[in-house]
Amino acid sequence: MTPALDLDSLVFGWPGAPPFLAIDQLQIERGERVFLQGASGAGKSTLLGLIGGILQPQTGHIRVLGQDMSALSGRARDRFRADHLGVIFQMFNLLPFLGVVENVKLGCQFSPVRRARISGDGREETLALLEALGLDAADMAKRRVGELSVGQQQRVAAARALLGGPELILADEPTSALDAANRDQFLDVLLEQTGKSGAALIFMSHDEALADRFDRRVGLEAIGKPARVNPQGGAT
Amino acid sequence: MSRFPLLALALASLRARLGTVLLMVMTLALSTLLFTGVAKLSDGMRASFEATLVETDLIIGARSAPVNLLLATVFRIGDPPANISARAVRQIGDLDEVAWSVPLSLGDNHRGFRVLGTNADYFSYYRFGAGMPLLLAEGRQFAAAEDVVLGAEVARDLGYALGTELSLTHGLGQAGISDHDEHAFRVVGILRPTGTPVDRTLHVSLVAMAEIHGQIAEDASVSALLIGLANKPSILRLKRRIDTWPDEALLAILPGQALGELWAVTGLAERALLGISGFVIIVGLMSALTSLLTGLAARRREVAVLRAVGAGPLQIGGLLVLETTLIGFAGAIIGIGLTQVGLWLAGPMLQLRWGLGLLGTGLGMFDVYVLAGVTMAAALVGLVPACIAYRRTLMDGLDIGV
Repeated sequence: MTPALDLDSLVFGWPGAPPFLAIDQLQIERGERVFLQGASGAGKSTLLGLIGGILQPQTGHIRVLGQDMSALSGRARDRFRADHLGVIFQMFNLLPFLGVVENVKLGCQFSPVRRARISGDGREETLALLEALGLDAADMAKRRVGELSVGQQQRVAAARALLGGPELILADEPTSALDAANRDQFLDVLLEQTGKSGAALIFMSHDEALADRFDRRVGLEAIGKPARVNPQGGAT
Repeated sequence: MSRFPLLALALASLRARLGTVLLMVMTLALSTLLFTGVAKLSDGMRASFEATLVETDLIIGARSAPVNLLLATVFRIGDPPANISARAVRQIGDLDEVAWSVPLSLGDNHRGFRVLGTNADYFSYYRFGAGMPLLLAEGRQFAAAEDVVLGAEVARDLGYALGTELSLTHGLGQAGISDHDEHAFRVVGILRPTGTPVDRTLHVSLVAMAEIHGQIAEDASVSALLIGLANKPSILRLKRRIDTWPDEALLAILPGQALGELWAVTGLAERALLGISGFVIIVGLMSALTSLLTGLAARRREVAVLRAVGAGPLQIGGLLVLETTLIGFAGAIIGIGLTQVGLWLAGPMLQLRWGLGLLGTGLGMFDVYVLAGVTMAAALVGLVPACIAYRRTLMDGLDIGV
């Protein structure tokens, strides 16, 4: 089976600026749960955009599930992201104008492939996922997202990322807005559910204390070339 | 949310911002109301004016401005400046080209309503709307000099019925001003409503009119003649002949042509009003754009989330365009609806207060064009935030912008 993620000689920089992120090699196997450690500003969100097919590298290859992202058109990359990737942000994961259940179902909204994997309108799977992630599903179904605590919001976001069984989950500092107790609980259920779904997980965080919970730990600084150049042109 | 994710998202997003959205919708609804209202009122009045007198080929009066003669004879607004002599009336009536002629004698008043002296031919030849004749609701036409036939509104407003006795005053003022010798009349007939100035007119015989003025009917001059032609192609030749009448200064007008001159004058004001109300719609759209752009910054995170779940930049832009399109559509629909309600409520009042009948103001193709126009303009306005959001999605990547 092709790896979940295969980065090769990757170089990315904003137009007209020197390279911002460079990664020689990174391979993540299917089902592997990787802790990607990087300080804030180290390019974690940029890497997320690159893997998600929203940003394009200047040189090098990004293969997600064997698919070379550069070979796809913009539309095809959007479609690929919808079909195979689940994304969890640090915060503000939910659309305030949708209910909790609708926010979770949003994960399959742009992907017929993932919709086909859930039954009917996906409400049952949604409630089951919310329950599995430690939320009171019956209560959640009645709540507005604005009423949820940040911890609850992050779990709803995890449910959205998992719904419809995408092969790769990308989480960008999903616990940095949580207190220690909430963080540990969130990590427990996230690891459990990704383990259950068989998805690979790339967990990006600056918090090294979490690294032990994962199959593997990768330091962004270790795999990245010294390409830290600030916009003024001076090396940092 | 399933088959049309963008539409469902747009509706949910609009519902969440209901207050702002309703304000935008009402702004557009009111400006659409103004626009369609102005258009419908001027069209309605035009159609109603044009339907006031039909099948009359020429109107003849003493020489004045054609529009004056038209307003005085057809719309009973103002008075003809001079009269046609009894001799000319007879000579014109005898012309071969003339199939019928109806004399009109204007200038008198009864409690604010015009009094028209004419003869029985008036009831035979006067046509309005789609060629409808004047019909009696009750009673009969005038025969004797003291008979009077009322327009529907006169009877209703003054509470007159068949057999009511009334006296007629000479002059334009209300009863009591420039009182003449009072002549007693009796109501013998009441006409059905026509939606024309006929409803606001008291009809008496020329004989009675002459008596009020102390004249003998045979020698009495009249204000104007309505003429029907035996041979339509001869109309311009006859008009020229009347216009160059040797014994007195006469004027013949084609009612349609004179109305055209009137519209040429009022049309300028109408177009100006329509233009201004069109600008009001644009102002409404601009204010909607202002609040859209203000709200856009706050929606940056929504955009990142939608991108993350697989929405493309075009879908993000499409969502924003769809939202303003829905706002524009709702505003236009409500505005057009309000116009209809307004016309329905105000129509009878206009008719009552100013005798302005409105014709053809129901829903029509014009409303479809307005609906399409406002909706498309709103979609165009939506392109502005959509383009900004589109460019930003390309720049932002998946940065949630914490």
